[in-house]
Amino acid sequence: MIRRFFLVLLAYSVVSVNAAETQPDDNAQDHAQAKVEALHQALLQAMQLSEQAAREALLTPVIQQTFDLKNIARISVGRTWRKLSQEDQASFTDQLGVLVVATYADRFDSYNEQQFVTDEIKGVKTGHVVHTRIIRKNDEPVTLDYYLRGDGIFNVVADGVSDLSLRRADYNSIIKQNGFAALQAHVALKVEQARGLVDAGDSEE
Amino acid sequence: MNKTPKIWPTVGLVFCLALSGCATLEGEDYDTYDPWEGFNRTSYEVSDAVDRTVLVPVARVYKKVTPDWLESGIGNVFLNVRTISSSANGFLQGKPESGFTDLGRILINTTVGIGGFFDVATPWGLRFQNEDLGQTLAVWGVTKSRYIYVPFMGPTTLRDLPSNFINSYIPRALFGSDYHWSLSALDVVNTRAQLLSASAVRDASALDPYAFTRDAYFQRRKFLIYDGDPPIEDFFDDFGDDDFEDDEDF
Repeated sequence: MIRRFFLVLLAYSVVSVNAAETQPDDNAQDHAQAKVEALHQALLQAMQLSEQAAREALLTPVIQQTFDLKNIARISVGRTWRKLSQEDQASFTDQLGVLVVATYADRFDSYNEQQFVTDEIKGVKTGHVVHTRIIRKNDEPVTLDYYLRGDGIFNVVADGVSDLSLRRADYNSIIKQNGFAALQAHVALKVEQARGLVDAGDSEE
Repeated sequence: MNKTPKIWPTVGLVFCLALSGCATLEGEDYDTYDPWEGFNRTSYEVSDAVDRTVLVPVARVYKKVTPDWLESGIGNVFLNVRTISSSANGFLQGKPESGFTDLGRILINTTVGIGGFFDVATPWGLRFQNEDLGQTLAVWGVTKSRYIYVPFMGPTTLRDLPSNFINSYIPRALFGSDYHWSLSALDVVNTRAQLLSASAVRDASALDPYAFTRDAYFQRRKFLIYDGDPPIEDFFDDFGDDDFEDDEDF
């Protein structure tokens, strides 16, 4: 049971054509693929750097260019978003961007002949999905599906588990219990944990 | 003479199936459904505290003293035993290819793989199909089901609960009177050791680990029920046009 749940955090899949799909525009499709592959290229480079700070420096511009951080922040915060001032919205978007970079830099911290493979790109009425896999030595491949709408990646689905859905549920739970300020404090703490400045156990309440 | 009360597993199974049957009344989607959140949160907190203070330290020591090949082999043995259930559920879901694939895995890994210790079937193209009774019930129409965090067992739903008991009962049924409780302990510790890095990812990501765990569970189950091929439109529909706005807002 525990095993089944935690496998959630480690894998991903290939998706079939369905009737709702539309013929993708070639330029938009190429654009979506280019964004995802630019991210993968940067991750491969980052894995070969030993320092968290160096990995973050490498990944920051790439993630800012490939992810739609503004809409990720908006969706993650949910209904509370419209009640925030524009300054708070912009500030939280920046904070979220730092967290995304720190998290990627923390997780992709060692190179062991990993490879990224792009399997398929699909256009749907509201965007594109880029199906990829990360091939790992002596381990099961992990499939990563990138969802793009407009100008960037807004959702990464790992083995059917949506990063944005989890983020939205997680953040809304914190806002509901303790308010937006508590969310900001938690996000700041997670950045410090990813950077190894605070032990992950310190976040327990 | 040691008499095993064989009636109780059967009674438990029937009870769980009855509970699962209730879930058919609860809806036709796979969305997160947690009307017992109060109980579940308490259960999660107690279980998590025990996990961190007892199971994780034991698993860390186990991982330190156990070679990777041995840890992997022990995991393979237990997985091989559970593949029996996966195979049966493949057939029950009307997917003979899936059922036969798992059956082939059992035959090959039990013989060539020396009792399941070595997973030689996967490199031969026979991948574990990962079916269970919860998925079968979903295929049969039990889609939406209420969430339960069972103390010391983990996240599940009423629909999925019976498969947890079945998986833990299969080794006992196979070994019969030769089964010793230490095998269950080994299974738990070995599984936990294999998941140490994964739980570290959860700790690094989740602000509210309970909500994170629950939502990840529902998404993962939907993924498995669709055999890794859930409708991609669902991921777009979850975030409608109202969620997306232009940059001018900033």
